[in-house]
Amino acid sequence: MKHLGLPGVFLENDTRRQRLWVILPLLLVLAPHAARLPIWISLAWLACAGLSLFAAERGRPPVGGVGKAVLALGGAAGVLLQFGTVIGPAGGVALLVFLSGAKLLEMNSARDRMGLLFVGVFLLVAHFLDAQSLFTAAYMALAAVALVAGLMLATKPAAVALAETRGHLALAARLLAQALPLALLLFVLFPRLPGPLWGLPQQTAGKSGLSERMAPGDISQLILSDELAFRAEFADARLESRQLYWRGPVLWDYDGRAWGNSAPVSARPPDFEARAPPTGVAVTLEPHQRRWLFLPGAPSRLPATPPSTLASDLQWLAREPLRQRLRYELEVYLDYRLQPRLDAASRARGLALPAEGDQRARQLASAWREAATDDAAIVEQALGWFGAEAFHYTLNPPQLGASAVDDFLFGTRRGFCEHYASAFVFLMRAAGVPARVVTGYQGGELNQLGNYWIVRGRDAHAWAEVWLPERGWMRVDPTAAVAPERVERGLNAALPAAERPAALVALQGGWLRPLRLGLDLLNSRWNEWVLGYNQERQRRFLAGLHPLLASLQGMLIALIVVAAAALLLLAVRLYRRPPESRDRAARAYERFCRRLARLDLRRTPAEGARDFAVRAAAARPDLAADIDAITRRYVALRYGPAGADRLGELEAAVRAFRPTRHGP
Amino acid sequence: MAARALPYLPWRKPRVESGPLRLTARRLYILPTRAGLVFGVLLLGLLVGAINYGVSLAYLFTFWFAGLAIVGMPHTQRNLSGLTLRAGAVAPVFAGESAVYSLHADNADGRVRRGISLHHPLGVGEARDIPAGGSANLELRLPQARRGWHAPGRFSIHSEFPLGLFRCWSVLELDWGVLVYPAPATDALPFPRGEADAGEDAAPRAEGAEFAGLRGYQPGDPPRRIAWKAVARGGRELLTKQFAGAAPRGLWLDWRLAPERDMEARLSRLTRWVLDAHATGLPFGLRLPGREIPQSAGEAHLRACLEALAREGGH
Repeated sequence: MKHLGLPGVFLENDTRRQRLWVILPLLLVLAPHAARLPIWISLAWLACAGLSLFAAERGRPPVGGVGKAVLALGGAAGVLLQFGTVIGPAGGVALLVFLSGAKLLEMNSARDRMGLLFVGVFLLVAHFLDAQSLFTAAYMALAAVALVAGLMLATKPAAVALAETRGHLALAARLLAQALPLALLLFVLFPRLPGPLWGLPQQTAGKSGLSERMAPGDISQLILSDELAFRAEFADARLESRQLYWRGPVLWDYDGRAWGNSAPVSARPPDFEARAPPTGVAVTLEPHQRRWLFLPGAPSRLPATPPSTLASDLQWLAREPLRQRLRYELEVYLDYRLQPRLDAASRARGLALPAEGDQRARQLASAWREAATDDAAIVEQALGWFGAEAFHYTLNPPQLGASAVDDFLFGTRRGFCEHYASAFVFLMRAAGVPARVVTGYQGGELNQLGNYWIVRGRDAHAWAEVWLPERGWMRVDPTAAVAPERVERGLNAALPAAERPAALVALQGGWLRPLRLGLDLLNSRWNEWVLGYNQERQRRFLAGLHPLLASLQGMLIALIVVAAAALLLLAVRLYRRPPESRDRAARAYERFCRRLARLDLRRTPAEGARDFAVRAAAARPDLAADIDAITRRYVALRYGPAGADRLGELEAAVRAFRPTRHGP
Repeated sequence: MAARALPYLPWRKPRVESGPLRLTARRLYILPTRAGLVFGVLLLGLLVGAINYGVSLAYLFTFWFAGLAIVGMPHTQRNLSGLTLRAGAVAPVFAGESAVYSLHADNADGRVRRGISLHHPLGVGEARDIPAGGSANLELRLPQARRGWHAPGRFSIHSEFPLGLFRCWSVLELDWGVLVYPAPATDALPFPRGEADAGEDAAPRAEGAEFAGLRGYQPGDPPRRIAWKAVARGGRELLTKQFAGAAPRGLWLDWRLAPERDMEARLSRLTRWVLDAHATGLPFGLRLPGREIPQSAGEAHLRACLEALAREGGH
């Protein structure tokens, strides 16, 4: 213990160094787990590791048989209390981590050490249940190198010198590099199954995202988050930010405070007319634990996966909440006419308002109705009014009183998209124009490197839809009337300089931007090709290589072919005769000896080259000159001063030496 | 590590070989170790998990570790393949001791061969590394119970490097062996009297033996004759007490003069006497049934006598 401060001396102990090569790789693997584990497990593990290292001098383990049993049972009980179970992804991993820590106290045999490292392999792979980013993969690849090096050192009966461990790390890296092609082939060809064999892990809910209710302040929480919502790639590259309204939840009912849906919307398929050819779009949606899927327009046809329904108000819902990253591809009409004939029920719901409250807004709306010739004129009038009056776009609006709409329209006049959308729809309904609130995302950041849009929490938006005769439901964005920059150039441009979130400013511009976009592209491709390599994508990718590969039989045949090729390669490697000698001169001389052996002139193992030459020359005087010349060159090369230029002469002489079986 | 059986293909029985031999693929076997099988089961479990949870990276890393095991296989084989082996000299031992068989391994390659050991049903040698372009002696310590010439029979050269998931081995039999001298009798008896007394009762006079001095310890000296007092006084080497009961000139160590009845016990007695006589430096001769070694002295004479004792009776 007195060597604590001197790592060099501390590691002079053989057992300690040997243990270190189990503890270090495990520590690398377990470090990322620590974030999800109860702190007491991490601390117990570290304590066991420390105890194991410090007690290395003593022959027997620091904890006896009873102690071990108490430790294991105590850990199991603790995990059971904390997780409610000791099996399954969370509880099982926690228990395994704890037990691996306890096992650190007892690892004198090679078998103990290998067992621990195998547990390390298991926990390494188990971590991918929690995180699968590119960074995680790279980190775990490094951890794998350490694990493999540990495995090499674990089988040794004694610890190796510190300097030698570097060689083992290099060999571990080389082995893993050699294994990678095989791993990739298996990864591509191993048939993916559509569903789970048993239950799926319970993901923790409560991620940020849109909600099915919109009360003032809800979206501003989301806007401050920089979290990725989804990425989208359009077949048509010429789209602009202001054209992109990603439609999410559609809200019909207002209770005087918040917008929501008090009753389900009609599940009839939407009735729309396309006014321009559709464009293809592929969306990779991050899991948000809710059911909605986002659409930039009206879909021509819904994709088969995920199972979903499209309501009459173009609200698209998956059957199950999204717990995993999802990619969907479809064709959408960006220019369309939605529900040109409005049914009575929808019309009534689109006009409904609370019985009373917000009287000034109602009066303003009636004034517009009286002055206007048709509904479209009322919409124009309202947008003009928002533009002309002193409204401000801000993420820090003052509190609103009991009459939220009146307070906002005639009092504070400061707010952001949800205030404007909410007030606008209220005014429209009060004026007798059917209207509703639509929430979703607007715009996004175009990554020109990969030509796709990155849509984040801060692109969350709310706008209005009004129904006009003949023209159907029309999108109206009152925010754009107040702060056109929001729609043209994103949130940051619309906010007053003092209010721009620091993180957003740093991310949005500056010299880091190309780097950040490049990284995002890499992540996007990673998600698409590695993490999103599911049954459907595999079929499509393999069909692109060869149509036969797209079926299960094709994949199995390909797997068998790959396995056979690998085995063949292996067999060739295993059976290849190791080179007799690495020395070219010796090889040439061996060839010469083989040719003489065909004449029954065999060099005995103990015979020197010169003695052999004398004997051979005596037996075949006709070859004496050649034998002598070759032997002299060889002896000069082997034992004389270095001269690589003579090597060619020797090799040429041996090549030319073709003795016949019977001399003249 | 427990000694294990030496499996080989029945139609490719190892022959007794002499001279240097090269380990080529034809004579190497490779199979997973127990740890390798456990690793296989672990990978299977991980694959099932990857399928169930649909985790792409779990697939990738599971396949990566599987590839690692497969790639490790030729590495294990290459660790042995191409070595040239030569039987080294084996020093004679007394019965009851362990003989150290040493196998000289030449590595003509430019890479280090690691963790190579010899296995025999009676014992396992220590694992050694063979440096690139160099050589090393692989050792096998086998206990020798009986005197005579003993060939160790089949043994295997064995390696699990690098990963310990595969074991590569070759079963060999070399024409080497060890000469095992009889175990020297543990109690000291004075040398037999001369020829004249041969027929009489050659009662041992152990008690009457006179202390004749100390000499250096030799393997086979009984512990009770070690001069422990000299050791206790701080002597660095062990010394053996010498007793000169009667050391007549022209000492003949005759098997018939040994007091024991059993032939093996007599040989042990004679071995003791030979060692003691050699230690005194006086010339002595050895008579065995059907064989007589004339009186002489010196190391070569000692070896000749011990060999005659070891091989007595056609052993």
